[in-house]
Amino acid sequence: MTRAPAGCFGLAPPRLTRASLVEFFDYLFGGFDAAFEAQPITSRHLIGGSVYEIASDLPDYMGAVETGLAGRTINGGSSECRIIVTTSGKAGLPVTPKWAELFYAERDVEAVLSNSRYRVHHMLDIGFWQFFDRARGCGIQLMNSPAAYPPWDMGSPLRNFVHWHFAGRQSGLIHAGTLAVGGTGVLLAGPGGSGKSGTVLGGLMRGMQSVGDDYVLLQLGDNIRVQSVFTTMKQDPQGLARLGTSRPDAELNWQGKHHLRLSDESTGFSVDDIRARALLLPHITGKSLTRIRPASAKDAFLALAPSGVSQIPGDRNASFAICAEVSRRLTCHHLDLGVDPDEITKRLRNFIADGANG
Amino acid sequence: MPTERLVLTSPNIIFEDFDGDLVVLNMNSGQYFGFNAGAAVVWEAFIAGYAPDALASAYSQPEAVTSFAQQLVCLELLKAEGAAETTVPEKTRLLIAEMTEAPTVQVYDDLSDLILADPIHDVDQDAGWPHLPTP
Repeated sequence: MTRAPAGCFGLAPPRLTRASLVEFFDYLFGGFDAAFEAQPITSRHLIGGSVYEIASDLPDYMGAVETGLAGRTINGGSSECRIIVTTSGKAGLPVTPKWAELFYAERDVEAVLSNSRYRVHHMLDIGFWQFFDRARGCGIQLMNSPAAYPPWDMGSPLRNFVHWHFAGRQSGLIHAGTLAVGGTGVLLAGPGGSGKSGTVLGGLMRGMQSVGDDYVLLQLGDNIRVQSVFTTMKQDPQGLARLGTSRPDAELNWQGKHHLRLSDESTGFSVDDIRARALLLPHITGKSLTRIRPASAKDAFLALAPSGVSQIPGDRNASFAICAEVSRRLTCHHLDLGVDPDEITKRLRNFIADGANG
Repeated sequence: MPTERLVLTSPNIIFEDFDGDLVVLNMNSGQYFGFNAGAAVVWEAFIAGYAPDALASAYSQPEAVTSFAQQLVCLELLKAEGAAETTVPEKTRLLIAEMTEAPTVQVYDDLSDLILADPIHDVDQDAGWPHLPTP
């Protein structure tokens, strides 16, 4: 069989195995520019100071991107990151990747690519692929059909591309909630059931600011800045009831949770960038009053790191290091949540106003 | 092992320091480990290539150091490889001698299934993170 040079889609692509991953990437991205130009729909987003340009022939998916990815812009400048979203085998990008080994072991594939310019994520069962060229800032998402994406994708579309684009530049995605007053605020980290999302939503409904509740972009400089990447957050009906509200007309997602737009829930001034001063570890206590008490950096790290390191494929060392740096630099506190959302929000407002030092 | 050099078992052993305490992640097994300050001092000396026996002689409870070495090997964080340096610098001996607590390791096994779990395939589809699929 004649092996195709990069971007020459008329010839057979390299077999897709661990040994030929880089060769396959070279082939695939050789045709990127032409394929990008051939897509009929585009959307531009300003995230963390970088312009992302998404191109696709899938109107429904692009609708989800336009509403779910933060920072939509009509900025006409050059883009730092370009991503194609399409289905496999289409004209313009006529490649249907097929893993040619018996098993697809994601950790092994990550290890093969760890020192290369490329990153990949694959869901074998639904034929979902994400390829990324870090050197050029180019990504390709290929699906078997227009709706063959994982159920959680609509809450954080193109999440891996954003992570791969920023990872290793003193920045990266972390799994944390945020609340702020006047652009200065706190990160909240903890597992499901800790009260993180309820605290964020309760604060938003009472005039506090947030740049996100699930995944946010962290940038380490003289200050620690946190920026919005996605526009929605999730909360189940029981959590809404605890906050004294409900969304009877809103659909439930795959987790039985409502997807809520941050801007719809906010009664305060909207921001897309805050300065983080503290890292809080929420915990539901059932007690009447909220208490904020010191936590060690080690405890904070153990609350922040596991979900981020495990949920975002590739560059896990960088995720681990960023979580550690944040835990060391911010003041860390346990947030023992009371039962009254008004009292919780007031306590957090005072905490931030006092410099977030406990 | 008492006189062998101890090295990281793989590049997938990563660690971070927090005010003298250490958190070590074994990405192969998915386990997190919390080291106390004494464990962090001895770990650093092992990584620097000094023999467990030589380091143990500097501490008031020598067996605490040698058993710690064995524990790290059992946990697959370190492995014996070649001959270790048996002459320990005075600065390192002092750090070991002045440890206020014997080295201890806390194993965070409750996180390991989730860290090892492929977050896309293995997390429960209905409940989501941090729940594993129902067997």
